[in-house]
Amino acid sequence: MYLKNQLEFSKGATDTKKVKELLSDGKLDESEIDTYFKVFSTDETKFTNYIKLQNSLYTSLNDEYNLGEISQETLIPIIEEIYIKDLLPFEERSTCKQKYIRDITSAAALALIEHGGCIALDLTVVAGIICHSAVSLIQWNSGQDALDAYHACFKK
Amino acid sequence: MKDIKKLPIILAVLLICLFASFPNMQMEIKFFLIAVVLCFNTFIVYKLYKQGLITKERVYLLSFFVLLTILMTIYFLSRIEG
Repeated sequence: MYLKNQLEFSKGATDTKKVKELLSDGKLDESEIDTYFKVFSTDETKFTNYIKLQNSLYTSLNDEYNLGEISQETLIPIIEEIYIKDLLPFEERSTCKQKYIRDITSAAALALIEHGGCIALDLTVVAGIICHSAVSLIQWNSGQDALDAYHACFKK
Repeated sequence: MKDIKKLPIILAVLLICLFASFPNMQMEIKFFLIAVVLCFNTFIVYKLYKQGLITKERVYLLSFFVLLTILMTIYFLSRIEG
């Protein structure tokens, strides 16, 4: 709920460039507050309510799990997992998945072509081993690259 | 017929070079090229086999590598989350 609210709030941002500009110095001046509300499509009342709700949710989370005791190294992967599995919109997950499937199928098809090429060459045993091993290695590396890109796609 | 033995691997290398040169190539074009070369190469391997230029053992070997490729793809598909 805490993360979901945070995600919903950040989704309200209309101008990402402006957000970066506002947060570049790590603090908000009095003069920037109105712009901040405008950029996040909110107003003072809504924002105060949002902060109150988040604070109470954080307190209850902290009471239950004692978040202060958990290191960032432990907490970040858990938050990422929750974010990917529960909060990331289905369409975004599906785009990453589709791209991954396309990448691995094209790597597999390419490998089939190359294995066929190795066979057609009618090589000696040693040259054949080298040829087919190289092809399998290329497929494995392409698959790993696609897997890395798939994981990175969620963190964008 | 012996001269075309090198054609499948030349086409495969050309395809890899083409994809490496244009990494942002549209996926549809990529798949179309792969499909064309795959069909062409299969035809050449079949012709070579029919002419007796490829032994039966090598065809069995090809089946093994096709299986390996499929298994590797299944492994990568199993890594999909959610």
